[in-house]
Amino acid sequence: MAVYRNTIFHGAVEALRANYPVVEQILGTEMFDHVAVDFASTCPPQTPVLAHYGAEFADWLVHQKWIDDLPYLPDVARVERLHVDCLLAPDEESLSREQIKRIGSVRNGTLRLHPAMRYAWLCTPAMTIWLAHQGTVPAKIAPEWKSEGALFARPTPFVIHAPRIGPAAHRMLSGIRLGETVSACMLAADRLYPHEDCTAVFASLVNLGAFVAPARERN
Amino acid sequence: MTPAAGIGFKPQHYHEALASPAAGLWFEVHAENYMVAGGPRLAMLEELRSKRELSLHGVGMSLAGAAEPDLEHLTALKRLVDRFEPALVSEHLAWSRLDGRCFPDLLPVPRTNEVLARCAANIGRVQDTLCRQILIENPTHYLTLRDHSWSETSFLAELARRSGCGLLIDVNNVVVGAHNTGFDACEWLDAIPGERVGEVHRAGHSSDAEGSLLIDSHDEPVSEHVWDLYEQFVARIGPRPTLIERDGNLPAFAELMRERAQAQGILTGDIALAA
Repeated sequence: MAVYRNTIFHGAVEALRANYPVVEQILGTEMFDHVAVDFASTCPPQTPVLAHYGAEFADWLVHQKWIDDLPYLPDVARVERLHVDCLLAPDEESLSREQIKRIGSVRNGTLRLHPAMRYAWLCTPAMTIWLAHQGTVPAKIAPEWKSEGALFARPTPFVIHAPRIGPAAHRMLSGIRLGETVSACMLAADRLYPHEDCTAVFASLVNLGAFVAPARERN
Repeated sequence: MTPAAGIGFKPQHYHEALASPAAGLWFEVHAENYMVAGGPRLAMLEELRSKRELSLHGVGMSLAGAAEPDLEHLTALKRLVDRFEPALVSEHLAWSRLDGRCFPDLLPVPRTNEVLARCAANIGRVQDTLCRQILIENPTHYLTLRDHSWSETSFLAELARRSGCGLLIDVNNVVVGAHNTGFDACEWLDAIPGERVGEVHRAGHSSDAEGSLLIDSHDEPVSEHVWDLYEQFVARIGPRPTLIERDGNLPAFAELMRERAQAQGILTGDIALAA
């Protein structure tokens, strides 16, 4: 009977490991295994499709007694979740610079966010920490302890961009998500963050593949 | 599909898998790993399918469970089958859902008349939805349930007769179950109706910590015993599509292909079959 019990946990633990590799690197394999079994006991899989498993992991981590020693860890888990969601989301052709030229007065129109694009504003330098763990050997970092934004964009199935973003980019993305026109977003971002070049920030978001064209501009 | 040997596809082997010139090579994937909206997983499978035959192997339909197959899960499988047109589609004689909870495992059932009728009806629902036959795999056994009223081989044969499904015989599962629950693996394989068998699985196993149980761990090369039984089985029923399964301790693609070549040699008669 123990074999079945172990196998049930094994499936959930391995699914969590696959989705949270940086959390595992930070905790070490042995501790991650214990944490994953605890998590799987509280939040067992609800579907046989384990690719999405662990959506509640970051929020669950916040409530663990030992988390005070690693206050940035829930945010690192949130970054890993953005990454997984980006990888599994629908494909769609992203808005290109050429399309923007064709659209012309894009500033007065609305755009849609690319369906695979994920972003968040985090209270800790979690994206800096996540980025430092993407090489075969984690980079040595001494991150500045301040909030920052994370963005994952996947303009084509195999191309993924994962930059840190500043507050102006976050404001623009949030505005576009809520249906503001591009010019309204840029104006608001410019007023809030005058030290940032909002035109350049918008151009970089386009280049990352953060948007799709308005329906009438497709084809 | 011609009865050639295939291997389980792993994304780590994507480029080598695409470039392999091996004649007849096909790939099997767990259907659940591809029930996602988009992204690199599906793009890789699309590319692979453009060059090779595929087998979709499901692990989550819970066909032996108390409930009918989950409609959302079945719809997701149908979407994959329609998109990738796999040569083979298979599932397990097991359950993995209860009262809305999913267990990522293949749990055993008592082989009773009631379970037989329920499994046959569930397989029928899946086949009707997919508009095609599926294959059902014999599970691994780690304990002996008391309430069986059918032998496993006669249960599988009757299940195939009633539902029209084919059988996927996992020789490693037979060896592991024979060791753990005390039956004769040769006799078991001899009792399987060969004409129902549409695919054969072979994998490696390991011992548990105490050394008393064998575990269907898929983390070792195929054992000599499994090779011997496989040769005898193929000699009796004829060549069938045969999968080399490996999930843990994943070796280099070339090493898996060496095991695959051994199976391919047996299937094509280049390696002498057991007398």
